[in-house]
Amino acid sequence: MCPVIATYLVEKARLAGSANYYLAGLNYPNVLMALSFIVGVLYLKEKKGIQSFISIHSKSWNNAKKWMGMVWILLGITAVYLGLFQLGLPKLRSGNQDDIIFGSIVMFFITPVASIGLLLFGKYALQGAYDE
Amino acid sequence: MIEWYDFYIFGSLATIISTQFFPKENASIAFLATLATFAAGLIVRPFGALFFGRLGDLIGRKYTFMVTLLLMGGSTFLIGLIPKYETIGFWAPVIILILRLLQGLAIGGEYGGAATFVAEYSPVRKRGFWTSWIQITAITGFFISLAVILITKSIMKTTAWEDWGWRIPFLISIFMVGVSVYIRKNMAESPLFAKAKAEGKTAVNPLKESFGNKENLKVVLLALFGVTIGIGATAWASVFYVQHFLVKISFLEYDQVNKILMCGLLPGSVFMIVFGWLSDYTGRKPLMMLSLLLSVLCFRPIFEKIYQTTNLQHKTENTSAVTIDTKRALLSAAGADSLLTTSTQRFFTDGTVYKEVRKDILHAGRMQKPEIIKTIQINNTDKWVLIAMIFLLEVICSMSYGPLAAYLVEMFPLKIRYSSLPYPTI
Repeated sequence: MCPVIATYLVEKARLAGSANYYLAGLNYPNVLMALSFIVGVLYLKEKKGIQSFISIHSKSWNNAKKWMGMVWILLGITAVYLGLFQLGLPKLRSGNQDDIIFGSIVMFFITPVASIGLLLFGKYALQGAYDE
Repeated sequence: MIEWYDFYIFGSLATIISTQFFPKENASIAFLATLATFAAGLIVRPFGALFFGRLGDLIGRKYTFMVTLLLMGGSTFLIGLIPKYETIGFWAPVIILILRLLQGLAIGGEYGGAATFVAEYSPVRKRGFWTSWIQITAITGFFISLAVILITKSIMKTTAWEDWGWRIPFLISIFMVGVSVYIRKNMAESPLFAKAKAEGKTAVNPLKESFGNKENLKVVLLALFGVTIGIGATAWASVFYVQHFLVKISFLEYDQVNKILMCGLLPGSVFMIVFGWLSDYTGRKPLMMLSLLLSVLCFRPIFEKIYQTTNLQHKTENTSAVTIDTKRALLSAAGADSLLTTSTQRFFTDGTVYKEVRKDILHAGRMQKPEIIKTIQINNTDKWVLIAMIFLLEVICSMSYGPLAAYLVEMFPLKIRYSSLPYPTI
């Protein structure tokens, strides 16, 4: 997804006259990398070798994981709203070919994966399924 | 590696594919449509993982990725035979999309199979080191695709390359597949899978066990959000997007970009093996998380540096050396249609050369939208700065990409490993 979405973001930022338009394409991978980093630090376990220096085996850590479940659920709901009503449908209705390509990707691929995935992930986290 | 070659050759030739298989009226939309077709291959990867993963857990790893290899190689070969948009109209993008989808299905089934196969062969304490060789194939596949393009372009004239020469990198894929089939025919089945099969411990319905079981589904989701979307973004940004960034945003000359990428990627990707090996001692998670953190913090400054290195505003122009060449050609006998080509070359004191080719077309008495192609040939010093930046991107990426396969393999139980593992790698 990265090349097509990043190219689209750069083109839109350039047309909008943004000063740093050439870096706009990095917004998409940056969001994904930041999300993975937070989820990874909190939830990933080290199965072998030296135990991760990041993982802290404590009750408060498990509580943090559970409470963050709410955040993932809220992000899942936000993904539905943004994917459908802010990015998907308006782009599909715009009539511009590049917007339609972008809108289709958001509407039919990114939104379902992000929203359903985050809602389920948040639910499991809230239930304590990822506790140490 | 051969499958990655097949997969990347399409992306590496995206610029020329957009002019061959899509309408030419709007070059930027044609390019975006080409990238969307490239992305379509990625979208169907989970379905390939689903289908071939099930097959792999049922009949074995060896035979399943024989099928995926043939599917991938066959599709790549056929892309090289598709007639142009000018010849068959909208069938051209439709056929290319179908073949791209088949490639996506194949690679979806391949990655999990290869990682699982190698991991199950390797000693447990050296799994990170061994599977990092699987990871490095993604870069070597990309590297070879660039090398084949460069060599093919260098042995023919530009007009021949643009007309038919670009098909060669697709067509020669069939020979690589032949070699790979021969190698795979002589491989034995994974020892762990063979043992599990002999003991009747293979999954009856691996898909149901992967996704119908909460314990496994929660691991799939954790792998998706905690590992693969971030590391995938790191890999795509540092390897593939940087090529488009240099060509489409910095306007660097295509061949020079490919040479710069090859010089930066090859030494950088060696660190995949280093970090894969290191992960056997330090654990996988610290390296992967450090890589993600560095990616978030450093990618923007690195891309800024790349852009500013090629930015002509920072260079001093030798204004007395400008050359302008104008050629007019009649496109119809009556003279109603004509093509005016203006080539301008500007030279800079540091050795950088800027070239602009502007094509003004008069068709049926009306001027068409001019076609402008800008390219920059960067000087040697700046070239090494760019190589250093690419190398840095690749080292940061390798820190997470090297241990990735081992970590994913260890997340899933043996009997549903092939089915589950590729799914979060979308």
